[in-house]
Amino acid sequence: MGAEMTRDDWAAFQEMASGFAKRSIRPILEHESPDGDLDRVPAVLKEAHETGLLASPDPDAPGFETGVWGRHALSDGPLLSLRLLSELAHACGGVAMSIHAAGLAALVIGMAENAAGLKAGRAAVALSENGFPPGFGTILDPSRAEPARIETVAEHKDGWTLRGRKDFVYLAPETDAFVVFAREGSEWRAFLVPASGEGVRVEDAGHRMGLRACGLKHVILNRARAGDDALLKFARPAPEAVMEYLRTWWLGMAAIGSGIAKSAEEAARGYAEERYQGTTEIIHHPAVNALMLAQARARTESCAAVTERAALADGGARRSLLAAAQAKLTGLSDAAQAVTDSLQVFGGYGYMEDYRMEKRYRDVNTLKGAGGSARDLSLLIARIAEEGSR
Amino acid sequence: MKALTHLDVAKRHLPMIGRLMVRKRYGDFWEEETRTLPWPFGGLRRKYKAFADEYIRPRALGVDQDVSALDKEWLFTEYARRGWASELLPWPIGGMKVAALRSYGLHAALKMEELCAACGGIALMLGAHDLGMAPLLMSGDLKVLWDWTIPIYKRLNKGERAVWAFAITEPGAGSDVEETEGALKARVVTRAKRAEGGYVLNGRKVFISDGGIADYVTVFACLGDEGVESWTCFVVESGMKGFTKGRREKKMGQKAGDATELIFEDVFVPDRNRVGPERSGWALNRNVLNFSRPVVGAIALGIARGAFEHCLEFCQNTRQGPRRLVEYQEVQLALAEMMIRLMAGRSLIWHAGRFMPPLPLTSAAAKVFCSDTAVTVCASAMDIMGDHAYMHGNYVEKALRDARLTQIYEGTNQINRLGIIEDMWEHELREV
Repeated sequence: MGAEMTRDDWAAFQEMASGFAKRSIRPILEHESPDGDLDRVPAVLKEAHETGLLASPDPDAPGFETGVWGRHALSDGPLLSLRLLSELAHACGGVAMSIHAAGLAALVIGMAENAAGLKAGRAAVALSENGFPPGFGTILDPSRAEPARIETVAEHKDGWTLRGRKDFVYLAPETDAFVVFAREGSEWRAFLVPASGEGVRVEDAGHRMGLRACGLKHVILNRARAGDDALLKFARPAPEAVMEYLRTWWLGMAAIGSGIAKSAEEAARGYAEERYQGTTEIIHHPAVNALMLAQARARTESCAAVTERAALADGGARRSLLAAAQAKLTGLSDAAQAVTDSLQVFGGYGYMEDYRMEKRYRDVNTLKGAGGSARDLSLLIARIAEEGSR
Repeated sequence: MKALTHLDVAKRHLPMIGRLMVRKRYGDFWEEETRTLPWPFGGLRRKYKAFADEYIRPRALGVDQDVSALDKEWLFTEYARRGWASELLPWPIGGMKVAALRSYGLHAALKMEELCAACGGIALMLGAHDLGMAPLLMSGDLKVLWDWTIPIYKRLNKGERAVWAFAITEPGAGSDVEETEGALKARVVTRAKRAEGGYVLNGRKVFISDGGIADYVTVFACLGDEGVESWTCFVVESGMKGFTKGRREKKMGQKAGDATELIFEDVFVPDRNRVGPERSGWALNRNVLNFSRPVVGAIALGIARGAFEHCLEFCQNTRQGPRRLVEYQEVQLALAEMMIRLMAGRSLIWHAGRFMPPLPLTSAAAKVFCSDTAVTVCASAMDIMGDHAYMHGNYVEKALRDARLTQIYEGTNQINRLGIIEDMWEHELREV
């Protein structure tokens, strides 16, 4: 399928995502609450599933091949999915995050050689512990103490038993399974664990700043039981699978940030063209046009460019991960600055819920910390760069 | 007993005078800074902090999620009965200590930093009252002092309710009216028409802090069909016929402090309620802003300090691998950077407080620098804390939301920057 996709196919998919964002996601925000009508999110994701935007590990699902992180990504690379995420985030970062999280779980399952035998409807990936993604040393060896070893442990005896806790798992509504990364001794393992399985407890993470249309849970594995067939068997070394997951996770978030920033800049430009100061629209003020709006546009483009460039990075898992970490670090920083500049154009109105600028601000700042903050990313970049210079 | 530091050991090699020059650390930088303040500011700072710790801090997160959880009436009474709602004038009229008159700007800034370190929203609810009363004082009109300020302060000191708000912003004129050039072109709609025995007010004000709970509002209105140069300030009392309170804005942060729309429909305001002479409103507005901008800087600084303190506590209590976060060098560097920024901001605010009356240049500079610094410090705190950063229970995301408003109100930071240029080089620019 992937090899057959043409530029026209890509354009058609982007148009479909853009149309879906306008037609189905945007109405959520017509509700007066700060994040819109979140009760409608499951229905919107059902529609995304039916239209093939939401990827699924189920081969019969419409989005199995073509959804965001559908199987096409294994052959065509991440670029199309990133563009789709950016289009979706233009309407709502939280819904885009839901589609990103579910699609990425489908992709990780799809990377496994035994994927065909696995049964999962909608899944989410559980990797981070204690609110931090694994550092580079831990990726290479999950039992390594620096910066922190993986405490979720798998034991094989009459099937698999898992113990540990995974924090800050982003997921779409109605997720019924988790891809749990754990260690067996000093080896990485990944398991497909049913959300309602024995010994699995799922807790809501609590009230948070943004991306509220996407679920956020903690997964507690108290001697959780899984059959032999729950083990995902990757063709590549397991640390590379972890790197590939993190790379795609971070790229997707950078793309979502780029979509949020683009919508913020467009909204601010529209406002500036209509809002008068005296007899002049404020877009004619240099402080608005030449500084805030121009810089917001430049930073939005910068975020998109660094993300797409990172998506095309080759040279192995480490170099690709390095590029993705750099993209999330600088791309989301640019996106956040673009959003805050755009908000400023609205003056006091930007701070109120009415224009949804404050939602974009909350969402993009949540993205900055999600799944790898500036510190985590900087440390990882430093370690990979250090390895490269040896 | 505390273990000796490296310096404690090393200083033994110095002769006696050299040993005396080694600065003894008390271990609490806040207290060390407080000791540098002249009397009576140090003692006041300690009192404000104690109040914030007891009354505000425990309520901050709950109120941010549910504003109705705050009993504003009770809290304002607790605040007022300490004399803090009447601190723009000294004893025996107000709650200010006479010696604090040397810098009422510093006085207000010290208070707001402490309250905001606990919660920016609750502090705004308490502090906006001073802003509402400021035009009475800054008009310099002794009749206003006699008719309004003294009776109101007496009531406040007795624990009676008398909350004030300050109203200049309009739907089509926000930051515009906080800068000279913008004000001349601003679309101001609130107007006062001369009537027998007073004025009739019509118009609308928006985003008014404490507008929803205020018993009195200092309202700025143009006279007749004239422009903003005719601005005149009036006291509009809650309950006056034609005066209604419109929508309460839904804000991203500082939620405990309301931002409310005020509507004036043929409101008759007697002559007695005019603050200062006709057409004195523009100069009065500038006086008030020069006073209030460093205070907004202090609000921002306090919010950022709250974020820093919570972040530091998180880093001290959270382990990553074998070590606590605070033991990692890159975390230490980030924490030090935050401290440096906070100290720089505080220095600028205290510096601005040395100018009496306040200097527009330093007032605007303190507001801009501290609000930008606050957002940077909050974002830095979030950068350290990983996924924990955006969780409500860990406070710093609230601080970031709260801090963001300080870059907007009391004139956007762009308008304030232009104000600095105007204050420095207005004549030269006009000559050009």
